[in-house]
Amino acid sequence: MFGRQTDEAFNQQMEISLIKKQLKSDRRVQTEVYNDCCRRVYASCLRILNDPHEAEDFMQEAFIQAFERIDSFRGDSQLASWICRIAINKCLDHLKKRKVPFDMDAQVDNGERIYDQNGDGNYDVDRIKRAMKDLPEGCRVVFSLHLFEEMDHKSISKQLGIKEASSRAQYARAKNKIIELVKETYV
Amino acid sequence: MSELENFINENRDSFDKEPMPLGHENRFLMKIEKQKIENENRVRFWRVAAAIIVLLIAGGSLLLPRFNSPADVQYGSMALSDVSSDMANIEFYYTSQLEEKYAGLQELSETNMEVKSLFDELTFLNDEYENLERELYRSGTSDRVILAMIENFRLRLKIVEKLEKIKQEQLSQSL
Repeated sequence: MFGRQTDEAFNQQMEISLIKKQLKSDRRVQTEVYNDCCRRVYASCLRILNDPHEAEDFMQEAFIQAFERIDSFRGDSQLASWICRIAINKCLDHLKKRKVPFDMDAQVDNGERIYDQNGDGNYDVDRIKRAMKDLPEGCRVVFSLHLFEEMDHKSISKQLGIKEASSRAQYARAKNKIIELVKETYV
Repeated sequence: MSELENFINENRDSFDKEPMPLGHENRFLMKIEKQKIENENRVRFWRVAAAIIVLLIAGGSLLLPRFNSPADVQYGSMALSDVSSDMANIEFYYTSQLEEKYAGLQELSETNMEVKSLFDELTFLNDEYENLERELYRSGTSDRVILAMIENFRLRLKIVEKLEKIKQEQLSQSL
């Protein structure tokens, strides 16, 4: 009677409903989901906040809020991505409360060199991570949101209350700074 | 896309491999437990608040007739004096008469069947008067109840006078 696709959609929906029900109160399932997704969510929070204690706090708050409001999870994205989104919003709210300056002039500072987009290719994960930690706060946040969280500049500008051009400028500045810092480590 | 961006996209998973802080899972379990307790307390608080509101509304609806009645009304009952000053005068007349005459009847022996029967009748009428006071409150000063109360006073006074007469007779016989 039902097509294969309809069956699959139905089963998927049933599975989501079951998980939602369990996530509301079943501590074992909550712990399982936490352990499965915490690394990804923690990494996102840490990239934005640059502080392990705050990152842990906001990551855990995001999980607790997600479990409490699991009914609003529609299942059109992965659960980890949904929780990550909650965590990122919490981190950004925190930075806004701290009045972190996200805005900057759309022009790249005169004193800054614009590095060749095709660098020498001496990248590795740890060097880039270290370089990101040394970025100015606004730069780091925009860079993380655009490249790691795949937010476009329009969404970033809305979320941070800055101009789209400012978001692009921060991103460019962050990229150049990282290339510069990574190169420095080779000298 | 620059080389840097390509490198990050190709190694995305490695960027998410941050060492987790020691004891993070325990801290999470403690936080979630604390949150659960706070949520339960919040639910309990609102339940109690709701119960108090219901009680206040119920209490208010019970007390409202009392506030609409004349002042100094006993809760659930009402005296004649609460109705008007005329009724207060009537009540004062009968109660003072009854008290005065009743005080002189204490020495009457209840071994006399007639005396006992009259005292029983007085007790019955006293109880009946209390019922009438409650009915007066419920009825909202109905004329029928007011008349019954005055009639009750009149009957009690009549009985007390009868008892006085018996006392006089007993006294003259003993002399």
